[in-house]
Amino acid sequence: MQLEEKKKKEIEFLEKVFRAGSSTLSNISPIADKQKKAVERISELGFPNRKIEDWKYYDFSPILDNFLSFDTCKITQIEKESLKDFLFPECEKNLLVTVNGHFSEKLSNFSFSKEDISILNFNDPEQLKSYQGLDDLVEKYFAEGIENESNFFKACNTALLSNAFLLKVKEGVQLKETLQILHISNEHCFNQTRSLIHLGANSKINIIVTYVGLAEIPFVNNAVIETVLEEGSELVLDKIQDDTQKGILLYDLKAKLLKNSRFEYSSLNLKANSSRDKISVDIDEEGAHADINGLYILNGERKAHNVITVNHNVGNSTSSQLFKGILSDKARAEFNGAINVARDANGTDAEQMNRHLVLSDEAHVDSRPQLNILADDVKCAHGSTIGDLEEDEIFYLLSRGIKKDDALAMLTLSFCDEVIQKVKIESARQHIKNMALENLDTQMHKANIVHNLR
Amino acid sequence: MSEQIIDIKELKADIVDGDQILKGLNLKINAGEIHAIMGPNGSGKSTLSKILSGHPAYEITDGAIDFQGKDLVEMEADERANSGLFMAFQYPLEIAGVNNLEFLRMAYNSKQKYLGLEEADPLDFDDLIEEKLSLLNMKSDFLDRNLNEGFSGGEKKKNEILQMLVLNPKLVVLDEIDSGLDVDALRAVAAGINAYKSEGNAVLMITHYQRLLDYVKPDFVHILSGGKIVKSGDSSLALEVEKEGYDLLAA
Amino acid sequence: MQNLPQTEEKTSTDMFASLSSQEYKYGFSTDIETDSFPKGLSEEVIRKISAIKEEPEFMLEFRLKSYEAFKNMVDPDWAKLNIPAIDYQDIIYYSAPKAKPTKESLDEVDPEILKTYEKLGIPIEEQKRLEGIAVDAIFDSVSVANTHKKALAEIGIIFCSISEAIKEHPELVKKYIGSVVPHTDNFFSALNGAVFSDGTFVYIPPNTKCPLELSTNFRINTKGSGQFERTLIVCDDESYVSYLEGCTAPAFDENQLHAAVVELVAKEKSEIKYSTVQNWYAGDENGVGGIYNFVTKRAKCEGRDSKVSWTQVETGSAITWKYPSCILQGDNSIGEFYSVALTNNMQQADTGTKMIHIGKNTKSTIISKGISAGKSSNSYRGLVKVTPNAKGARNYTQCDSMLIGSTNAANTFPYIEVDGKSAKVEHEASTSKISEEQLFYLQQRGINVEDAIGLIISGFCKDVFKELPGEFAAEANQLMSLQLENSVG
Ligand SMILES: Nc1ncnc2c1ncn2[C@@H]1O[C@H](COP(=O)(O)OP(=O)(O)O)[C@@H](O)[C@H]1O
Ligand SMILES: [Mg+2]
Repeated sequence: MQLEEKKKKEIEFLEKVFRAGSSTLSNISPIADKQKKAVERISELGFPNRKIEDWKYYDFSPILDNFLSFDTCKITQIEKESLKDFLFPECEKNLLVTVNGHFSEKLSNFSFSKEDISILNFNDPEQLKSYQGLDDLVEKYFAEGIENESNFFKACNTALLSNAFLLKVKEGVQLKETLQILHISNEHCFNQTRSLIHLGANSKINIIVTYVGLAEIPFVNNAVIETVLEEGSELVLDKIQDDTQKGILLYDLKAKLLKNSRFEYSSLNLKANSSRDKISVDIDEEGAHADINGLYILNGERKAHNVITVNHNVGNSTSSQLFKGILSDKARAEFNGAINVARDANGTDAEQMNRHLVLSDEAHVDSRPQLNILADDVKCAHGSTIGDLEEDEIFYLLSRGIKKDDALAMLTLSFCDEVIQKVKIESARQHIKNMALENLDTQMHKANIVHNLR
Repeated sequence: MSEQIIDIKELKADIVDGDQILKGLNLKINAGEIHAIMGPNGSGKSTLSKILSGHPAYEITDGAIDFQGKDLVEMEADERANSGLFMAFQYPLEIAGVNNLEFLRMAYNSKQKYLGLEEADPLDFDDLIEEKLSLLNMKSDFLDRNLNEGFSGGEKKKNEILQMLVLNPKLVVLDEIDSGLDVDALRAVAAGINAYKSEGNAVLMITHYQRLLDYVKPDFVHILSGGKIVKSGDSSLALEVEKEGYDLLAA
Repeated sequence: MQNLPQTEEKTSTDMFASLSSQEYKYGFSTDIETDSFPKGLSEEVIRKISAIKEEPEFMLEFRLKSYEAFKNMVDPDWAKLNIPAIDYQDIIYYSAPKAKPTKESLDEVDPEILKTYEKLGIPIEEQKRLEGIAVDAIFDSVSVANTHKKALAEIGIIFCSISEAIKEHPELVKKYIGSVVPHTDNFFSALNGAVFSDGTFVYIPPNTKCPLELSTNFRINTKGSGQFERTLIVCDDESYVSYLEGCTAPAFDENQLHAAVVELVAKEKSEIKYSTVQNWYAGDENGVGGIYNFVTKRAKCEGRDSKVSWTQVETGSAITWKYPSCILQGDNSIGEFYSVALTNNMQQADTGTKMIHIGKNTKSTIISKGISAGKSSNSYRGLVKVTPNAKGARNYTQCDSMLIGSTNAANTFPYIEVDGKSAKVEHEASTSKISEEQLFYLQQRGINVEDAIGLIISGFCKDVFKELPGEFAAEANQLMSLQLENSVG
């Protein structure tokens, strides 16, 4: 792209955001305030570029090249039948569906008691009013710190807010069943989805979020999740990215962990043309633990970017990160993960592991594990490996009479398994495995081996 | 009457910022004596040995420890060691890149210096070590390795005994020196202890098993439970423990 | 490290609070007469330097080209360093001892200078007789003595000051200078290209194993002067050389700039081993004074099967900015980087390496040990890049940091960029506090805390120290202890 032309597109993009932003200003004043701050932040930041460390390896052209409308994201008629590949039987009774960013009552289903869990569009004054005390929560945690936000697209999401889900689990409520949140895109547009998940003290919930593209047209999904874990609460959040091959996903997850809370997160990237996951975890009180995992299986010319920051803002807390990627064809992956230990956050124990399996000559990996440590009594470690399958392991299997193709498929799948096993629901694990094998097919050229392993 | 080595009086100690572990412990050891301490897991045996040697994780809140006329409580860990107190760790540490022989020489010379004596001539020192090694049935290539790094459980314990023999302390506290040893290693360790033992020094062994006591016969056996010595006796007490278990005895 | 982009915001100034003291053993200045230029940088100053040194035209061109590039650049600010603004017009760009140096006989060297070296522990007189080491000593900016030269010349080895090489071997200098670090490379290297006043030149002809360890000692003596030495080592086919560099400076309360450039060229099947023990004055415990050590060191493994090994022990300087790197161009070439960086008090270090794999089956190893004490800041920054043609490339990296004492910063910033499945890259890093359990174990054996720390640290650094030539390893150990004195309460 010519420099001039690129600049022009960036300006056009900004203009569109500003225009759309002013028309989407919320009727709820604390939300509108944050939106105004977001617009300010957007103009401060400007359209991002590769000189910014966090965007060093990102290619903006798919976003700029696809002419995208910000205001035509409509809810379209979808039959439940067409979703069956993306639904997990375990979550049949607790399903929240959005279509192009809009909540679909028809497709959704809840069996949780309203006492235990509130789910609402908090940008709707009527709904917000009917739940007492929730406005405080929204005021406090929605777009917290937006005035210093570093992610341009999160600021856009805030400015362009339309539907915004609040999911609040009541203090002390421990939900056994898993909630599935399904975000569907089938329009050529720039989708904004936004959720705020709040876990009351000592509550517990498992959520599986799926992003699905139903049409082979380009779209950008700009998703933001903010979550707050109050004292002693536990959130298991699995995110499956199942977009079409043309989908572009921008994703921003921010988790705030309070005393003795526990956050388990797994991100599984199975499709999408390009995805960028920005994950920031703030450990703000002692005794908290964060377990952040990811798996991306990339073929063709697909790209995946993971930009992770785990901030130990206080000591006596622990975190672990495990990110694995498999690349074939001309795929590209970036892992940019930092462990930040604040001054005096003594007693921090943090680790991070990033592994890449590269199966083709043309695939490319950028790995940037980082440690930023300002305290003196800590234990931190990271590791990063990049390479093909181990010769020794292949040989071992061959020596036990296993055919070479089977051996390769087995080893590749076992490489993924460590992350897949973190997902809590059996049917989701199976789905991920199937998708993984499908993606690997192109590399293995041996559909039958892969099928045997299913 | 023989010389008194250590006198522990009404010792109370906590984990720094934590629970009280020792709750009024009394123990007196004279030169020439071998004492054994037994007691259930978590009763505070390792804590006692670490407190005696000055580990910073614990603090003494009450009581006194007299070590050959000196107030042990006021002394730094290295000073205690140089004054003749040696502790064999239940879990000896690995220290990367620190040569075993160099470490031994450094420890030996620290003590010489402390006592106002000449540092060892390297050649004489090598001879001294050789002699101890053969006693423990250890090969000398062992000295070229890094301190406990990659040592098997048994090798680490033997290395503790080797250090004890080289430093020739006044009182040794052996924390489960017999755990994780095969029969041969147990014999070698016992031979080391017996070679060390003399009328002028003393041994305090922490153990769970009679099998060590078969080789190194204690004069006194104490049962430590709930941070106190709840029962003392002669070597037959150990056999009773083996038969009855701690519960009955403590009751 | 030009293409490493701007990163995190700079360390905050609240780190600058007072701390325990440590003495700088080499903090004396020698009272000799020097010929210095007035402060400041201009084309005129550059022409004057070139004229004084009676340089051929190509050298003046190189200097002016570098100056042109320098004028269009800004200080790099991406490193995790808090660098006070430097006034480049407030630096003396040329300072030479007045008694004209001569390389033929040590008797003619100013006795005051010789005394200085004695205090440094590097008596040249002794060294000269010492079997095994040939010493070139750089005093401020000028090479003052060079021992063993004749013996080396007999087997075709050139070991002399770069000024001399420019005059005596212009064809070699012209061919290689700027061939590894181009004049446009970075701010400090461009500055060096413009004003460098001396340095060392080494050429090892084909099929020659240099029989001696070659050594240079750098010393900054004049207050307010910068030192800009340039070192160029070319090791021809199937040859070998081991080169040692030591650095010291007197304690002045104002900062001094040291912006050196080192270029290494390794031809087919040759090997260069380059070791540095850097102990420039680090400033006092409040961060007053000390050297700014902004150095560009780079090697080109040009020939197949060539090997370059960098070993550095960095204990001094107020600020260190340094990334000895290898361009692994020849097939099967090998690059190694072994580093110990110790920072105490207010010292800051941002150091590491770049390994650029271009040739097939190229291998690199990075072992970095950082030790931070006091209120210092210590960062490892490194790049491992495997280009598409570098089939079969291998890298192993291990970066460990040890934290001692109160509040400090320890960072690890690796960049790993890999193309293709045939590469195998492994990186591991860890940061932890010095182990209290290990300290206790050693204390229980009668070793006092300071010695125990020394022991643990030398164990921690062993994999790097073992790469240093014999007597340097012992010296490095001593330096570490000296630097850490009083750092543990
Ligand atoms: N540093 C420590 N931190 C926390 N708890 C400790 C520590 N040291 C000992 N304890 C606790 O104190 C008790 C006594 O431990 P110990 O002396 O090791 O028992 P044992 O008799 O088995 O050797 C145990 O409950 C143990 O968990
Ligand atoms: Mg124990």
